[in-house]
Amino acid sequence: MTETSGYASPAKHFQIGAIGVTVQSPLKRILREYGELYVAFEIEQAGAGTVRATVRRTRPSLLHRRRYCVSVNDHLRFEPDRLDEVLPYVEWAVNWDIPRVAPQYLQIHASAMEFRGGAVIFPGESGSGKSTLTAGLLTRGVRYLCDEFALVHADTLHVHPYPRALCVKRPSIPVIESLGLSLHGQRNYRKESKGWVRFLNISALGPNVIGRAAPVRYVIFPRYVVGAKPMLIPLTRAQAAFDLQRTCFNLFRCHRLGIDVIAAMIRQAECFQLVSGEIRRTCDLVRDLLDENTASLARSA
Amino acid sequence: MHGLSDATGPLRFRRDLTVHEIDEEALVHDAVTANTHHLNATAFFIWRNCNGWRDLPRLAERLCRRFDVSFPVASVHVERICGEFRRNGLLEKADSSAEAQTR
Repeated sequence: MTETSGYASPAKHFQIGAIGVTVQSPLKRILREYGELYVAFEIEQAGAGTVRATVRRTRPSLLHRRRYCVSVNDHLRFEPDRLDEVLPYVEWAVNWDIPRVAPQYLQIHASAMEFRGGAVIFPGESGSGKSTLTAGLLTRGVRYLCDEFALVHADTLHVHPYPRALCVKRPSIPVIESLGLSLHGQRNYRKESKGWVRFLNISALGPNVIGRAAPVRYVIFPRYVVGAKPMLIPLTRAQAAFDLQRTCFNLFRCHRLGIDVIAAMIRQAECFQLVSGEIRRTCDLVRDLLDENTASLARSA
Repeated sequence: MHGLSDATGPLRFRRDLTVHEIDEEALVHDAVTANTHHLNATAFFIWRNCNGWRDLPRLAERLCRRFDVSFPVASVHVERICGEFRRNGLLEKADSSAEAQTR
């Protein structure tokens, strides 16, 4: 529902898994595009602890070109020049504010999925191939939690869903389409760190694609190597925990010390490095691991 | 730098650090520096034995027994790992009463 009150800009409200988001803007295109991506999560009223993103357009002047101001909770975060940059920045700004509105979650830079009641997290920097791997595993019956970070509840140690639209970089688009997944719309967006991107609307893939909150069963660090034979290499839990804490966005801003959360969480997980190559073989390897539900030796596809 | 070659006497781990034992390894968090350290099984064994009254030779002896290595090899490991501990500020000075126990 779009609402307007007084002089405030129109707004739409969403409950995207564990996170409430309100997007407010006088720019109809922004509300429409965000609303289309998250139509399945739209709600009538924002709840408590909602991230509120606003987008407005400045007037051009002699000194400045027209810009778009992306703010969260009234703090200006980004000022892109182009309209096709705005939506990725809105996503980014929302991500940025999650630790503030939801300090009960440790936010780990990772994609996260759920399979038969256990969560699998794939920590990695941008470029490690975690989004492509996530998309591939969606076609293997593994359910989606998030492609950008794992939200680990500091008390229950469960990973909670934040099923944001999966962001696909241009070089990965043919790979995604070859898996039979249809990207959302025809529009390309510019993302500062990734170049041209498109989105995969998760809820449009089917009724049972989004996973439930689940305890961590696997921690798998992917690393894409062109032409590599897919391989899983066991990691000690302590090594994995050490690497994980380096990928946390809010290690010291979570309501428990992040390292305590990770240490508790990792005790119930199997940990691996994944050398990923061709997407189907890589997904088969990971899916086999999940099916076996046990692994202690290096495996290769 | 605080090489252990020039450090004599017993060693003791800092008692204000947060230690998470995971299998035979550990994560050690230093709230003062906000750093976290990963100790593998050997390092964590040595760490646990830095109890304020064991010096380098005694630590090496214990490492020999635990991991079935020769004393010279164990000594090299102990010296290197304790050097790392010291460089990262994970050790503190053993008090004189504890030192006295070793004499």
